[in-house]
Amino acid sequence: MLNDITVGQYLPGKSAVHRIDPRVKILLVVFYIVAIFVTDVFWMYGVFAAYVLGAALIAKVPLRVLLRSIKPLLFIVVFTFIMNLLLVREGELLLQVWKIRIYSDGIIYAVRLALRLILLVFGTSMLTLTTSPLSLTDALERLLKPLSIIRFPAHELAMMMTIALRFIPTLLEEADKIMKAQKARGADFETGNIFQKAKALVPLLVPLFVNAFRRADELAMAMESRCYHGGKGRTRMRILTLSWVDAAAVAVNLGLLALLIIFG
Amino acid sequence: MAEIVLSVEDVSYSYASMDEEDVKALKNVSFDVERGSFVAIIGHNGSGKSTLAKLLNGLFLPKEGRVLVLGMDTQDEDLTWQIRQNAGLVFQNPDNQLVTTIVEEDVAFGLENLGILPADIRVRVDEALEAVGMEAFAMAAPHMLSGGQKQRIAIAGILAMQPQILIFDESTAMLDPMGRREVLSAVRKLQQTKDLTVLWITHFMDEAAQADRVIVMDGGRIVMDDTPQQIFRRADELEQIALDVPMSVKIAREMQKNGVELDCVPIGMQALAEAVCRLK
Ligand SMILES: Nc1ncnc2c1ncn2[C@@H]1O[C@H](COP(=O)(O)OP(=O)(O)OP(=O)(O)O)[C@@H](O)[C@H]1O
Ligand SMILES: [Mg+2]
Repeated sequence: MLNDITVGQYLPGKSAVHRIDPRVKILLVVFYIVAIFVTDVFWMYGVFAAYVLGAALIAKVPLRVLLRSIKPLLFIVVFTFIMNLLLVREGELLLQVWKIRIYSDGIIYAVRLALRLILLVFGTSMLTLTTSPLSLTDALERLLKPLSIIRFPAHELAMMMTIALRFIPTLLEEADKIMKAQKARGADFETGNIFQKAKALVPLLVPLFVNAFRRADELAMAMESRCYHGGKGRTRMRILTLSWVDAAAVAVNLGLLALLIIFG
Repeated sequence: MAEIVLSVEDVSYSYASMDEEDVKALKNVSFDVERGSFVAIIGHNGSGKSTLAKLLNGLFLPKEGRVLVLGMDTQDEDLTWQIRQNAGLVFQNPDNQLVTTIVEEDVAFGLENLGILPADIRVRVDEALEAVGMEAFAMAAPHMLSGGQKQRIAIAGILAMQPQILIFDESTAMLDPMGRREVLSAVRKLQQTKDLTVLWITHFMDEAAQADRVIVMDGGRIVMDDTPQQIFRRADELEQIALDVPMSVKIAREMQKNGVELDCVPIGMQALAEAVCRLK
């Protein structure tokens, strides 16, 4: 039951998209997000869709996987679509059924926001599908490092993310074990209403939390034993270097930027 | 006489407790360890072994007495990182000492903390992984490995820091017999080829039997400190402090009860077999 939860959705590969420096990739995704929310021109959404799908093609990410990434957000997309449709009262009145009025601008807003959200999910999914979680945290730390001047805890944040990524599978495994042990003693996690189900989870969560704190204590000892003393004076084994792939990716994005400036 | 790399001088340690009296975990413990030796520390639950281990690399500081690692006092805050780099500590639960999601990144963790240059880290990580025979798993995720493999990664992480002393706090306790043998033989090999000093805390008497020297703890004190031959000769005393003897010694004692006297206390099955062959 808990085995199908995976951390991130990384699909390992060696394509050009995979090989883009994670720092560059994060910045490009940020640019992309800003761009889709800035532009009002409908055919530009087509351009950005083509851009994302092109990247997926190069990275050999199956379309099915990309489409699946919308699933968790489908409700929000549909909900905002309907809200826009019903609540916007500008433009021409197109249709009136009883008290429900649909205006032309309502349709435009609804479609635009839905497209933006879908493109947003596609773009960020491409990032997580083609970059390993460790590279992501690593890149995030390096990008945020300048902010440590204003005491932004870039290193601490990255370390927390790394440890979380490292321990989520371990804790899930443990939860699974405890669950099985309690099922064997007659605990029932599947039937009953939501309150009964939540109550059944208490004897699962208590030992899980107690163990998690013990783990945290031991991990802290182990980290200190290995000379961990925060980000100060720390070096990294991995050196990130820019290559022609990054140059190419940036060039493509400069093209997009030009379109954006010319056509809005 | 060989160089002393670790010396514990009249050390006492107690845990503060809110409601009751402080727990005295170590009482006036003293011993020296020579370079290149393999010292086993045994004692039943709560005898103070883990407390001792944490005092040896400055995780805990002695309330009385002092601990010297290669002549450096653990009390001296300026030397803390140098001491921890030189006296590596491997814990019991392999799951709780691996920090990152990729094996080689984890092995690099200590070196990154020490501020070593990236190119040097690369070399030392590869060497350490090779030394524990895990080079094929450099890019694996820790949670996909077996217990023994995880523990070998933890050892590689310590080894990469190039310590002179390795301290193991029941590092085989959570492993199956296969994993246990795997880890112990990796450590023995390292100790011999790299001239490392090893302190091996364990509950398994068969492991202690392979050491050069055995320290027995009880109630926060050292009660015996001798070669395995001399220690396991005193099976009755060990029994009184809830400790066992190695299987080979047990068999020899049973034989003795049945009237078959061996000419020595056999430490290990090999020694037992030889002693039996010497019988006519
Ligand atoms: N964090 C702590 N706080 C309070 N008391 C502690 C703490 N850790 C250990 N003790 C106590 O100190 C004594 C020595 O414990 P220690 O963990 O060193 O024993 P040990 O020989 O390692 O035992 P084991 O074989 O179970 O690992 C015990 O009486 C224990 O209850
Ligand atoms: Mg212990």
